[in-house]
Amino acid sequence: MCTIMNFENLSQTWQNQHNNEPETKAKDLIEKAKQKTSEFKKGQIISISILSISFLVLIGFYIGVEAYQDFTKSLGLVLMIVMLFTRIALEIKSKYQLQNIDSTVDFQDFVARHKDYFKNRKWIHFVFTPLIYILYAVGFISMLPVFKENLSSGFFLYIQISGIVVFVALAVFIAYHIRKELQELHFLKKVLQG
Amino acid sequence: MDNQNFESIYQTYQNQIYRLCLGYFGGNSNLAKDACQEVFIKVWQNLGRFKGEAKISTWIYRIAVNTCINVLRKSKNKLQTISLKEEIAIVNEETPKTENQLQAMYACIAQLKPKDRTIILLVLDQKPYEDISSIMGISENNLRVIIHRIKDKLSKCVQL
Repeated sequence: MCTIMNFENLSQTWQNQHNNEPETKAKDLIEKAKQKTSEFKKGQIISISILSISFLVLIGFYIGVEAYQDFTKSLGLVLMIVMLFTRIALEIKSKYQLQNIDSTVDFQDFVARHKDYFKNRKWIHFVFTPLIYILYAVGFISMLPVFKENLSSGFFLYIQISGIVVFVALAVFIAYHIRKELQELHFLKKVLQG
Repeated sequence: MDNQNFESIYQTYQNQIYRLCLGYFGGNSNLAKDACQEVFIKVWQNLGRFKGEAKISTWIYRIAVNTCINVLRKSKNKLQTISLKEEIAIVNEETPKTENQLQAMYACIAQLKPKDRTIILLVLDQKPYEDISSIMGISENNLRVIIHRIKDKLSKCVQL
């Protein structure tokens, strides 16, 4: 036979439960917190370094192949450089926006801030990313005659195949992340609705 | 950073926050331990910013409920609720009655929507409505209605 429990009884049971609390000591937690803070700072430095190195490598490549001597031919390369740099910069900025959401605000505010963040990410996913992707592809395709002219036929074939593989892999990777983030947005909307 | 201050906060609130996390994650002690640890890491990181505008307990509980929802958001099974029948199956006649009741409570709480789950865990922890309102960002009047509804739901769900 089933008995519907009185809430006061439930509350009493809840209060009287004995759990094996975590054995972590405050000092160990402080050490972990310090380590996490330092990892966060290191992460920031690494991100800025990646961005700077990418930029320098691409500029170096641009100068190295003397692309500046024929601007119309090198326009594709410039397009690829700018698009790649923009995408990396957008992703890093986004990552820090998420990490910097204040955890000490009330629950509704916290969830709403996350919802806004993921809503803004939709702009990146559905406007900026396709635009960047298309412009990058245009840049790559416009460079093919230059590659054909300057590279051996074997290496040219390699660039064509690897180019296609990279485009497909990127599209799959981006689609996976968009799907994941849309699920998170859906979840947050449901939480806010109660 | 005032380590002594942090140690005293940790000693005072560790058990309460762990119990909250345990209830939040359906009695899964591994998830609860990780979440509880993350809560206190955030407490330590943000302690310098605490200006005393709210009670320290309210401030810590805000970090705790926000951390729990974030852990749930990142988890793969966020949109799935635990099957009640499966969970109740672990409750058997050989287990003492209070233990059965507790297991049933964990299962029923895990069935609730995340916001309701958070609110009822604060109620079970005997937090005053004023504090729950400040932790959740919901007016006290609305909170009373919501709590009445969840209490009813939980009492009906925990059948022994």
